[in-house]
Amino acid sequence: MRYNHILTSVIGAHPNIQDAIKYFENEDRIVAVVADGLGSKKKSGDGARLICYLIVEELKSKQLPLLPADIASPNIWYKYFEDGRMNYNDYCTTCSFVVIDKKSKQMSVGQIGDSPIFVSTDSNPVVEIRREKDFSNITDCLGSIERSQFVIHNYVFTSIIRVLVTSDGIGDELNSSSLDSLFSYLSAKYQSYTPKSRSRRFTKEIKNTVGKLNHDDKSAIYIWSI
Amino acid sequence: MPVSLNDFIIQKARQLPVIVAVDRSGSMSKDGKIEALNLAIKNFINSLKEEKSDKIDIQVALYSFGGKDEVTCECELGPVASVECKEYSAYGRTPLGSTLNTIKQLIEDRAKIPSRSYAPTVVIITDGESTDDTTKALTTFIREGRSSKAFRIAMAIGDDADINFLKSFVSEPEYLVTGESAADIKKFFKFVTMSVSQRAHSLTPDSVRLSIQNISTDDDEELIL
Repeated sequence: MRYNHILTSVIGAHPNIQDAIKYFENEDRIVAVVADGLGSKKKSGDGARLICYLIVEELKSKQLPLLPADIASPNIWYKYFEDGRMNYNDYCTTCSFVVIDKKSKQMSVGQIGDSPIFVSTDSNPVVEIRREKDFSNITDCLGSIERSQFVIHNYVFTSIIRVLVTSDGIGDELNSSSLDSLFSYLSAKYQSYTPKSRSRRFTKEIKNTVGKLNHDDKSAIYIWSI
Repeated sequence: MPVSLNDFIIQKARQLPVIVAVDRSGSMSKDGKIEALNLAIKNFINSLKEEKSDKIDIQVALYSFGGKDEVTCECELGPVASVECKEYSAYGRTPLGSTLNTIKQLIEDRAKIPSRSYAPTVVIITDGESTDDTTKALTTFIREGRSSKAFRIAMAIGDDADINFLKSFVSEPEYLVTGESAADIKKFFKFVTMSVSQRAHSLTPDSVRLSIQNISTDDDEELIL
């Protein structure tokens, strides 16, 4: 079983990108993280990059399935700012991740905030994992006083895995009624390109479509098995 | 067979709801207030109609309160382009509690205001004490659910307005504007227009801090009634 991926991170109307993404893959593991720094916070891009780094470092070897309390990264994230006597509220960010253990065919996804995750295992339809939020730009996040834990979902699969992790700049614009078709479209289209050119082409497509709909930064990682 | 990502995305701008509730109780008939209000709302709606953005869809709902403790909806939440203003006549009472309950019902309705929308701006303008109970309605509105996240702006006209109620209602202290005259009503709606415009053009419409400081007083401008 092999895995393909495409990724993109496109700046919105802000002067600096506040999303961050990180993709890690070795023989045993895939870890993909998308963090969406809050637009209203001046250093949120740094907060987003830090949590991406921490999650990859922690989850590239951690045993699955995951429990929320097992994940140390959020506490380390807060501690980093507290030790540096910085105000963590300036660094607010959401975080969503997927970790796939290739040998045991397990997958865990985690979420703090409103960066949506879309999952399909084997022949099951796409499941949308998103926190119901009040309005567009109001979300739970790392950096708030009330500290959130990751909401975790664990999966076992036999032969097929397809998962899309996005910032809300993309995820909120997707039509919920056509997610299965979207996955088929992405897999078929980007399968036909060389691995080197896939993400470049995906970025171009995001800019030409979702890019015109909102001011947000737009980030996504799509992983599919073949 | 879909040929582009466009086939899978929602082809709609995000909604920016603006909900306005105005006092048409009997006391509004004095000193040209109701006439000023009618004109100010027309100007307000016309200004919003001129706002152009591909990414924001300004939607407006108009409510009024008065009569026999009545709250009426003159315009259901919808695109600003389709709003037609009605002329209000002033008579009756001031049911502020019922008004808040009615607006809250709209804000909590995710079919009418989806979570993809930006937080609504809620505007209340009144010149009197409430004639129904506001305690529970106010607490629920400002502390519970989606209404607690709204941008809440108010104008108190004259000395009889319930300042304490309005102070508690607004989401920031400076979002309460006080005034005496018909000209002040015009000025207030200028502030509301600017605040909606400011949010519509902001990169983060739900995090904007509205400012009343930059509004010129138009002292030498005639108010045409």
